[in-house]
Amino acid sequence: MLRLLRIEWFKLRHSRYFWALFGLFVLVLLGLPLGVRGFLVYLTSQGESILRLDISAVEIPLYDFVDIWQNQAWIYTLFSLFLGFIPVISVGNEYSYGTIRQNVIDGLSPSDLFWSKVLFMLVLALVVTFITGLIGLVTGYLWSPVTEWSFVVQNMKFLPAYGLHLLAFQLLCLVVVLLIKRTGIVMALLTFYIYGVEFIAQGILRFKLEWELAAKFLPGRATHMLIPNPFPKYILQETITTIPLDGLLLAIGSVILYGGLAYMLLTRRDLN
Amino acid sequence: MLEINQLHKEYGRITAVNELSLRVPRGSVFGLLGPNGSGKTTTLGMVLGVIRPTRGSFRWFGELPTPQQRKRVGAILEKPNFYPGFSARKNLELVAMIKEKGRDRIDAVLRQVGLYERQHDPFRTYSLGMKQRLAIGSALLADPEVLILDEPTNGLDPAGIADIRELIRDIAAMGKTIILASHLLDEVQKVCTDFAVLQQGHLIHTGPVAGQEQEVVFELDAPDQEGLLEVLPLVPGYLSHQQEDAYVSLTVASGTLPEQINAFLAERSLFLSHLSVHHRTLEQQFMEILSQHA
Ligand SMILES: Nc1ncnc2c1ncn2[C@@H]1O[C@H](COP(=O)(O)OP(=O)(O)O)[C@@H](O)[C@H]1O
Ligand SMILES: [Mg+2]
Repeated sequence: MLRLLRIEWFKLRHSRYFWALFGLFVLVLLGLPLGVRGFLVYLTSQGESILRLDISAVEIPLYDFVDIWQNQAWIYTLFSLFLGFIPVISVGNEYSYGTIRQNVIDGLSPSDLFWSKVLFMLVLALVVTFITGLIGLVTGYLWSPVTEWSFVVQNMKFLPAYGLHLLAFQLLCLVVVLLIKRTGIVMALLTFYIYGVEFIAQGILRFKLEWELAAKFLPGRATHMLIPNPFPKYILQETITTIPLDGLLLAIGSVILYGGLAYMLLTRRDLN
Repeated sequence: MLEINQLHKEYGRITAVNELSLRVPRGSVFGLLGPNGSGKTTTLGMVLGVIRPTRGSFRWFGELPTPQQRKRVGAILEKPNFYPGFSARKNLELVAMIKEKGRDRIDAVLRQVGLYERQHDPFRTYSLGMKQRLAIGSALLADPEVLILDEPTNGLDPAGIADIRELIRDIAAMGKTIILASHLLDEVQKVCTDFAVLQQGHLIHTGPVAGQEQEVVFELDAPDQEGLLEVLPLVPGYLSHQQEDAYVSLTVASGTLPEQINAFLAERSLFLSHLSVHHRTLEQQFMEILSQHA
């Protein structure tokens, strides 16, 4: 196991694509809370008051402990494609270089290859979750009016939920690249699908056809349904602040389904 | 070393390899000969675990196949496959990690294939000849018992081809078993001890490469041709002779030297106007085989 992980780490740590994507993703993770905070401070300095409420912008409780974990996780799920591109590029390039085939010739089994890729995804998901936790703690302690430990940890469950989403989402990307095998095409297709097709399909299914059940099974959405959108509460709508069971099951189901599919695609086909 | 039993591969309606059975003896340099598309790469891909046979089986080292066995085999299939951004050394380090062996041999291998000076340059900056040499080096890295080379001289210029062939001969001299797939008769002839011929996925011949080991053909002529034909059957090592247009072709056991023939004939007052050696080429063998299967 550790050997497979070391092999994948060797491949990626000497790859410029990996560092570029991972760096970009971490920048997004850092930039979002800082940027939003900066914007709120700016609004306050302009003396704007927000909505009908008589509070200044910095007083919007975005970073408040308890709320921060869900806010952060939900926002970050919008950017998971950056992380998903890592397996896309690594696997797609291995197909075009022919190294995936050479690895097997040299003595890896196709299932070794599967595990080296998937274990690395798991590690990435854990690392990103850890970074997210750090960012949450730092920004929370800086800007949350409440810092009592019991409040700090109260909704931290959204951190592991986010980690699970990251794993499921990377596996989805892995399946697509195993099917199509072309790095550039897969990247374009995934971008188009996640930010275009699925967004529109979701809108149509939920609001036009009122077919909520089908919308849950959209492949991308199924991976992040376990983190409900917390922001409607800021316009005083009711929101879910727990991890919904159906969302949790869908995420776990996605891991199993996409993991299984990827395993079959790697082990049951010729490697060309 | 390698034993293939009725190995069969179909791609849709195309039969790439047809009920192929083959044995590669230990220590041989085995040529897999056949025109493009005859199923050489597909056969090797199956025994290397990257192509799933439609049916049939094979054994490495007398055992059923496992990924572990491939660590005892060094192989390149079709073209050199490396990470283009990594240097030669990085690529070899990765291969050593996969094979769990050979890290300590990286320097030696780089020297052997003449890439020591360029070891830190990215693979993508190499010429095709350098890439092929790195591929052979990588196949040798874990000191394998068997080396599989699929068209290792494809696309190279004459100097590159000569380099690779010399490398193959050196490796064969180290006593390794080599399986060499090629569509070039000349190549198989120059380096192989045994060979098999594939045609549209069928095995149409397998056996040793006949060469100097068994028989030698001389072309000779003398002003007194009748006298020559009379005494030829008495020549040491005589096997057969044949009257051609401009000369007589004489087949004798290998080891017979031209000077022996010359001296023998001179003793009988037959002086040659022409004497040249012709090994029975694989090309002739190949043509005979093909004509038997036409
Ligand atoms: N992935 C594939 N899909 C369909 N046909 C293939 C594939 N690979 C090889 N073939 C066909 O199988 C036959 C044998 O090919 P190959 O083993 O590459 O021959 P060789 O290596 O002797 O040139 C050819 O007719 C080729 O077109
Ligand atoms: Mg071929």
